[in-house]
Amino acid sequence: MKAPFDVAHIGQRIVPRENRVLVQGKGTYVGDFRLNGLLSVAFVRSPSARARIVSIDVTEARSCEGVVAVFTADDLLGKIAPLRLMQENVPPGILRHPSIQVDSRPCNVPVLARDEVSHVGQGIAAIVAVDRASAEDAAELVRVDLEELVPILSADDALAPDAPRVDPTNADNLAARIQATFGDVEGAFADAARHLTVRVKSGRVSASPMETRSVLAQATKGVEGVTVWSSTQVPYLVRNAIAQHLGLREEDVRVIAPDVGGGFGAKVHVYPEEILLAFIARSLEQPVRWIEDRQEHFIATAHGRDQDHLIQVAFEDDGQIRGIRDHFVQDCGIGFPYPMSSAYNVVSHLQGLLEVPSMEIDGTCVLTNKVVNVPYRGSGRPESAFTRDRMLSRMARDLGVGFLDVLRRNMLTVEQMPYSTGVLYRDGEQIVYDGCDMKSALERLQAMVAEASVAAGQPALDGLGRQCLKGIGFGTYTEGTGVGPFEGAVVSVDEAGRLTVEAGGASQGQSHATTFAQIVADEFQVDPSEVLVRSGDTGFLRYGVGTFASRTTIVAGSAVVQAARKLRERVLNVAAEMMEIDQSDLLVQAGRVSARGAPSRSLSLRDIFVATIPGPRAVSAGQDLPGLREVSYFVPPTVTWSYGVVAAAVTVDADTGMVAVDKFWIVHDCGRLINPLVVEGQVDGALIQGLGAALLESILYDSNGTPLTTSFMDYLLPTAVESPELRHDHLETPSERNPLGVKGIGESGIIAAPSAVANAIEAALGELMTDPSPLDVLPIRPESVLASMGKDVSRRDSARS
Amino acid sequence: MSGGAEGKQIRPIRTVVNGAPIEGTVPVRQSLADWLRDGLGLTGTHLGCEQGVCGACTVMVDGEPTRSCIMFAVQADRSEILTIEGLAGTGDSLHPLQEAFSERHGLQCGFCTPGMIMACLGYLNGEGPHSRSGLRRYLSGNLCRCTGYMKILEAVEEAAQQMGVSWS
Repeated sequence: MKAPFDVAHIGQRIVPRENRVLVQGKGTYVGDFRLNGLLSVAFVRSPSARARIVSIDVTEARSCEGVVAVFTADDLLGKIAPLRLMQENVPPGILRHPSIQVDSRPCNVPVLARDEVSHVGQGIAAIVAVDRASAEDAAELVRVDLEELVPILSADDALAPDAPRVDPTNADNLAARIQATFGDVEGAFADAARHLTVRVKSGRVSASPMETRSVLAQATKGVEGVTVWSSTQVPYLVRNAIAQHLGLREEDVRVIAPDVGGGFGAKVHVYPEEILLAFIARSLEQPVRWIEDRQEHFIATAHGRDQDHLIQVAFEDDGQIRGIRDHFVQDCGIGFPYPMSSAYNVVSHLQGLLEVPSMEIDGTCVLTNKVVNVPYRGSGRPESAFTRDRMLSRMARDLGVGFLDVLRRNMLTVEQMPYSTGVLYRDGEQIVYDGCDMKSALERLQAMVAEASVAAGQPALDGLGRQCLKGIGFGTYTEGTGVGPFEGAVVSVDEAGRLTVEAGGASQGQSHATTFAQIVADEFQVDPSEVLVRSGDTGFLRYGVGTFASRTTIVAGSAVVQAARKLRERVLNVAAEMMEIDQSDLLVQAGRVSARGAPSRSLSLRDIFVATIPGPRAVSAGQDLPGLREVSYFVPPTVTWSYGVVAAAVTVDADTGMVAVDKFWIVHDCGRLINPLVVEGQVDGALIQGLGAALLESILYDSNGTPLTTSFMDYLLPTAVESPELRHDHLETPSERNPLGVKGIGESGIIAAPSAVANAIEAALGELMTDPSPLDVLPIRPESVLASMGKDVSRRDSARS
Repeated sequence: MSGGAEGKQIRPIRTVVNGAPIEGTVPVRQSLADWLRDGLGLTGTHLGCEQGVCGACTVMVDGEPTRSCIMFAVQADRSEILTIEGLAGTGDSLHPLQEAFSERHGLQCGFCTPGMIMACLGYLNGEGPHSRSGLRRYLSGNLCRCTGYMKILEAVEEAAQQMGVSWS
């Protein structure tokens, strides 16, 4: 692609401007704000998975020293409706499609529990006190009398005839049902030479951003509305929900996501605390803040994944896939706000870059007495990729060939691009893969892996005399990125002549400010450091959505470039009038507009700004419309497709079943790279989260529905010890679906990491593996590895996932 | 059990924080982290778990990396404390570790970063030999969810070079 300008900042490894602030501890997270009269909120949370509330006695708590107020559900009656979690619409294209059925139910979650508690961790009472310690002291004095009820903790429980209701408004405990059929599945299964069935499970996990959730709300007497700072990915959705639940105009609610310490999906939906804190601030006319602690985070912040697949494949003796049937069950906890992202993503990603003539998918998403299930990084794609790659691995075993042989036999080629799969994306548009070249990606990956001299499958003894087996495995992924509906941006020149970007979305560590500055810098030929960037504040732009689904650079970034181009036009228009020179003879560079060939004839952006303020000095272009400020919204036509291949090298201890990942390699294509340093960071972090999902991370509940994993001692995140060396390579196929040519990258790395690890374990075990099925369940624990070798392992039966 | 009159007792405390002598009183049950953040306004020290596991709250107490969320402020009496705010000295200059974390993109959301940098300082100040595998083990008590650690390790190696710490 030809650079349109002399100096391109897009594509440069620019150190993110955010870094210098954050390494000094000068970030401002919600917990860091200091406001006069700021009160603290602590919650009384349910100790039971399902119980009837007999009584709540707050008398003692209310009289506690330092306590300002106590709120229970009774205090909210008639003032706040239950939080309606169903936030994601099913687009008309999908509703109209003859072979897709989506039954997606709204889900009502109480802001505070009233008659019944429905998961451990659900809020029962909120204590407001002068400081956090006083609020927590008082919370311990609230007496809650509960009558225990039998909890629903699995799909079988939920779907049993006469099962009690998790949500009283939902008769059959169904959060969503998604059915889709493409091509002649019956025929494929009738004709094909071979069939096989695999059960593949991606366990329940916690996204676990290092900053927990927190909310600060401020309302001022005499001022309509409320301002809320929340550690959220979706300030606009939070704003809209607060307005709706408190009966305010959206424009009177301002939601700000300041520095946010990671999100990954955990902060992608609206939580009861956000509504409640706004309500409390307005009731008390004093600022209030709640900071979640980590134990609360494990029991009150949404989890992800928890999909159980039964996949069947019909294929020929040469490995050609004829048809796939995949029936899956997703355990949604008490709510499923994003059925299209979490579950329908299976429909759009199971196929990956394979040619699959027929496919039937049937997903049953059930309510249980656990925490809400939201789209954790990747959302439906890691589950699909793992299911598909386990299927490929089993086909390879059946045919007596390698995983890559089966992959290559069915892989789409670059010559087939653009390729329409016949399936609809969750935005209702036809899936058309744009510029995906999996073959080149795979070749590059194999070249990288070959350079590393790993002796696959060669047993060796370690220093302690243990048998160490080494293996390399591969995984594949596709990812529809940059989903709509839209995002906006304002680019302006202020009174001092500075370029400023105000963008929709919000950042949780993705260095968006740097990315947006690079985009504007190229349009105005200035250094990116001269561009001010602000985002994550609903006060800047009337409409917006948020940051998730690998979309911000594509959707908000495209809005930024559009707004910058509009502003450049306007600047030239005004300058042309001021200088009496034709626009085409003007150059915009280094904060000035100058005459082509006569650089001494120039104006600063400040001069031009002044001429747009109505009054005696204004030119005609400024008389009607003051200032230099352009707004643009970008509405993507549909998603653009990122894809890639991952390889993992592992060492398996044959005696203990312990698996160490020694190295990850990835080759990916996210279109045009705006900042390679930022892209690498995203890929690195996602790969290691994928390692966590593959081997370590698992949210567990006991048979009463009590969470067993409520600290980082029980819920294991990868540390620097488990996290291996990472190598990456990029393919750069520019997207034609947005003005920047970019594709999303935020989630890519996580998707195929578990497949690669599982395949690497298989490769390491070689002949020692007698049963691959224990490796089909994530996380793959040491006992799974031993079980796959036919070793008798006694498992704790008290823990169920 | 928290609460009760015992919890609200106040004790005097005399410390040096980031080079400045601080004398004051603290509730005996207040954690060092809460005192630094709420009492002194040093919000660069972050709380990621308050269970002593994630390491985000790591500060230097008498030269040793310490989890300030599970140490009482009163225990820091007569100690010298260094937080991220005091690491670089005055002005806009950065400590080599901060510089390297920034340049190498050894952070994303920045929440674990102050604690991570203090832990790395502990490693570099400690006895050698220093190596990547040694650093990995040393950092096993500091969680980062964004970076996957690679760029952190690279940053520390670069800082070690700047600081004249030998690396094997």
